[in-house]
Amino acid sequence: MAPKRNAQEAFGKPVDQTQLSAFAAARLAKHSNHVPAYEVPLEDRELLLDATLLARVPYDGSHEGTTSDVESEPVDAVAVPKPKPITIARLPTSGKGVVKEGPDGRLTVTLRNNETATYVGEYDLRVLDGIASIYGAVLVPTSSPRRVYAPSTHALPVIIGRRDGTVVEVLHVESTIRVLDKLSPLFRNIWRREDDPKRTFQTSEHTADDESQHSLLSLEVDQRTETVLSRLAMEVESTARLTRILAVGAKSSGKSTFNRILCNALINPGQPEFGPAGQLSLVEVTAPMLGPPFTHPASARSPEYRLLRAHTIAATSFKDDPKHYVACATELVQHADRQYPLVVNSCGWVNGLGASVLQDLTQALNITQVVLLEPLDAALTATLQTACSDATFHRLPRQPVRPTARTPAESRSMQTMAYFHHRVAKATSEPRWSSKAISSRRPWLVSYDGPHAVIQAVMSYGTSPHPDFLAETLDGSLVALVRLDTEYQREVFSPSHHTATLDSSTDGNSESASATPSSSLIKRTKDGLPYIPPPPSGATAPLDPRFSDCVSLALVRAIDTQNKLLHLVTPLSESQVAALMDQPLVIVRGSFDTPEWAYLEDLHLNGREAGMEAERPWVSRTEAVGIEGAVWRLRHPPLAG
Amino acid sequence: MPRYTIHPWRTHTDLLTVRDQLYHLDTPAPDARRYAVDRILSCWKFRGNLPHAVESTALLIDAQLHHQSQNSERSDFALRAVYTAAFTRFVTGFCDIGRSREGLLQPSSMLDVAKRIGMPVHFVGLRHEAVHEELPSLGRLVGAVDEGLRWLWEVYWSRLEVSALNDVESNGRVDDGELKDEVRRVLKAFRSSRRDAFRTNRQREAEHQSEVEAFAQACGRILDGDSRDRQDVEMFATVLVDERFLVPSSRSLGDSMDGAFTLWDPLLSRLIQSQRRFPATLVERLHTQLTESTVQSSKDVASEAFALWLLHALELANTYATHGSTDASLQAATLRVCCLYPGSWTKMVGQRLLEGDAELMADYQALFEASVLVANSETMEVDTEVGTAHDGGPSELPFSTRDELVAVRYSALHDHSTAAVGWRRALFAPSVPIGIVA
Repeated sequence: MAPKRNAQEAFGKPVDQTQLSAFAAARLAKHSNHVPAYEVPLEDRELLLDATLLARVPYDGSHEGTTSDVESEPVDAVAVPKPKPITIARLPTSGKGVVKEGPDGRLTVTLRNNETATYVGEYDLRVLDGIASIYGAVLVPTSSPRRVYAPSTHALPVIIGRRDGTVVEVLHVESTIRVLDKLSPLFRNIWRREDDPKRTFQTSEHTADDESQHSLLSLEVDQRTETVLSRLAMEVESTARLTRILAVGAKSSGKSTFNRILCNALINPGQPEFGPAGQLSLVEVTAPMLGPPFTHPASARSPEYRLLRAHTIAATSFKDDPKHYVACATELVQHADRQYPLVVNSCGWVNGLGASVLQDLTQALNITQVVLLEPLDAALTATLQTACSDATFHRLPRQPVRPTARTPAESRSMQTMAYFHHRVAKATSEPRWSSKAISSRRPWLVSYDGPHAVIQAVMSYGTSPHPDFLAETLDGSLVALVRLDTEYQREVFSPSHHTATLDSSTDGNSESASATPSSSLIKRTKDGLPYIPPPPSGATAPLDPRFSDCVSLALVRAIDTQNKLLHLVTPLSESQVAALMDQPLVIVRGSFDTPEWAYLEDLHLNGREAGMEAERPWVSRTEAVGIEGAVWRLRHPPLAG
Repeated sequence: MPRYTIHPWRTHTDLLTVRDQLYHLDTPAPDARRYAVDRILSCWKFRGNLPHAVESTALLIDAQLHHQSQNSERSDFALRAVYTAAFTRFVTGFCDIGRSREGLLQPSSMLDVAKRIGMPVHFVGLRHEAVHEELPSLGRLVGAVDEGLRWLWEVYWSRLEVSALNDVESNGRVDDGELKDEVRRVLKAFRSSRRDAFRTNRQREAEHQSEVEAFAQACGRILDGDSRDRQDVEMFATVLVDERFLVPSSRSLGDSMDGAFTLWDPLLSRLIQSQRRFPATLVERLHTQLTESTVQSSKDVASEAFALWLLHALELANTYATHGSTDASLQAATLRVCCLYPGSWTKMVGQRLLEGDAELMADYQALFEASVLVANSETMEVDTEVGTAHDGGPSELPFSTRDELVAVRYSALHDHSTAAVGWRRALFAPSVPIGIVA
């Protein structure tokens, strides 16, 4: 036996020396950021390799570079209204423009053609004269001011003058998103330094030597990308037929950024990706998306990023049920207005199961334009091309790998947290975020048992917990609230056929909703929680997307088993909840991330000393000494066996 | 910044219970191991953040239970496969985590990692054999699983801190009588010292100031105590409030409280500054005094005194508390009490608070008025089903905020502890952590 060699064999391909630098950079970036932001990274590597320390680490797939980890939004389909014609000019070359400073902190910048200006922070951008572009969106003097969110964790959008004598104004704003700073360290120190109270932004040069060592990168659009963008824009402009665009690429290859820029270019100023992990949403975008995903949540009431319909897969990966995933996406697309171009934000899983799902998706959605982001497996490219012979293919060269300041899990946390805190203000379309800790938000008390029960069942996607532990599993976790089509309550609980069309479903609804839905299927735990036991064959069939849609995510704040009430926190407004009150609902749980952020918000908010004296479920305070310094006692001899 | 760990068990006691069940440290209940294994694999695993040692232990024991079960259909392959899967996942996990912690560009082999963390190297060998060669024989697997469980006990389970458990056990601390007497003694001495000082008009002299300082320090010592829990603070506030130290004995209705305030302020303000939990605890005790007497008579002298003290204490907390948002949340908590226990003195307190704070006004006025309304007209007939619309669609909705609060308030009053309503919004912003029913 030669364990060393064999172990290597068993774990991943040997790393090619010539490729080491690229991998190394990515890998290092990944590792250095793997420690959650509120932990102090340990310095001594030897200490890290202590069995007791390893024993405390969860083994959940984040330790190998497995490919099954899907990005935060499994799929968004974005419909954008018919665009105005645009031309995208050359790559910006140089020049910083002439800057004048106004009394209230505003900057007036005069740019020549291709001159650029970059700011970190949060600001409103207005064009006074000429034409400027940012993030692919073109702004002119008649455009309304646009809010730009440029945290240092993401590549910074660049303002580019598109003609000589372009004058733009960069305005200080009443910050709305920075209320989240106090609730989680993930949001701290990402907007700008604190030394200038006058402005919510600063030029990127000033922060280059920032001691917080953010890697500030500009969001640059290279020439090849610009070419593809303008070809797509022309395509959308010139053809009357349906346009559906799908970008295909590996994780972190820039799909989302490309899609954002594309949307921004298609609508004249605009911006999008939406919703928390595990949710597939169809969103109508009418305004540019000038910031990372968590800054432009979609909601049914948002005038700019209007959520039309959503489904949940209740997981951060579709590996457990790819068919359901494709069925959900296909169903969503049917609700898209065919006169608008549709941009599909796909997942970055491009080999194995992921590749075959991509192929199914491309066919099922009738994609007309595929953008391939290199590097891609040649076999996948070939398969896609054969499968979708009608589609036009565009190729983009490999983009430079950008080290990210947040791990995928942290990004998902930020996204989910921003989702729960997001409010649509009635007066303005500007998104707002609530500064209250999630634990002090008034929950909805929803009955799950008895004559007035609104929750029909708790369904588990993937593996089902033991019924005895269903309450313990649900308590404090994230779930999806899914509304059932009243007429099809019965069908919805029966195994989904995942058919793409609605052809046979519109007739023959002879058995209507009079009976309790599938009462025989639903069982109750000893706490009275209704659930659907998994069939002997394995996993519970997911809800048929034709007859159900995901209303929102909810945090199970507590379970009052005495009064048979679930205490739910959701981002829904009271009027949205009012509209749900008489509808049959199902709670879907699956493998959503643990909402750790929610357990800690009030601790972060109230400072270092507060809060831990009371009972706080699932949270321990780690002693400052660290595990190495703690005194351990051996109490009993082990009695294994 | 303190560090926090999120774990799937609710309390440390739960983890220790599971440990005792897994390793038979407890009573030999026949199903205890099964129950513990199910809880780990079929609940904690789904909650996330399950330490690999806990998961591995459950997997290995599950394999043993499978072996012991009386299932005649169980094939030899099935037995070996279950043992193998459990063991392989156990070993692979430790090695993967170890490698990822090393963060090397050229990761070490599993064998290297095992050596460095003190895992028996033949574990890695057996894993390799099971994956790449023949399935190992049943006897070897049984032995290896036993050994694995012993190793896990050593590196993880035996090292769990039992102190956390002790904390829980110490909750019912036997005898605080002595400490209580000490508090009474100090408070009495302080009161007479202040009275003497006022009588001889030397309350501003340095000598008296240093006396006051000494009293404050004495109280501080009692409050700091030996334990970090809140009981000492609670006990102190209880003695101070419930034993009527704060209320002048010869007071009649409508008298000014200024004398009492002046007497106690130097001590209270110091305690508010030095004891983080003191303001909230004091305010809570005052709440209890106001709400415990079922009938708050408008003629009750003591209730009036406590109401005035409550307002004064909030003001003190506002002025002296150094701890961020405490003051605002204390006011909100007080208003909540005022809404929930409408009465003449809570009404007075509530009104004064609302007048003084526009933000509170915005948040609570509607509710407060509604509660006063309820208190004044107990015969009012209300439709408890308003807002539920369970049969007729949401016809009455949406309400304006005020209307909704009123409706919810009524239904809360009438339904008190039943779940007759499908959806309803909680009346108050909870002040308890996630996971606890408010």
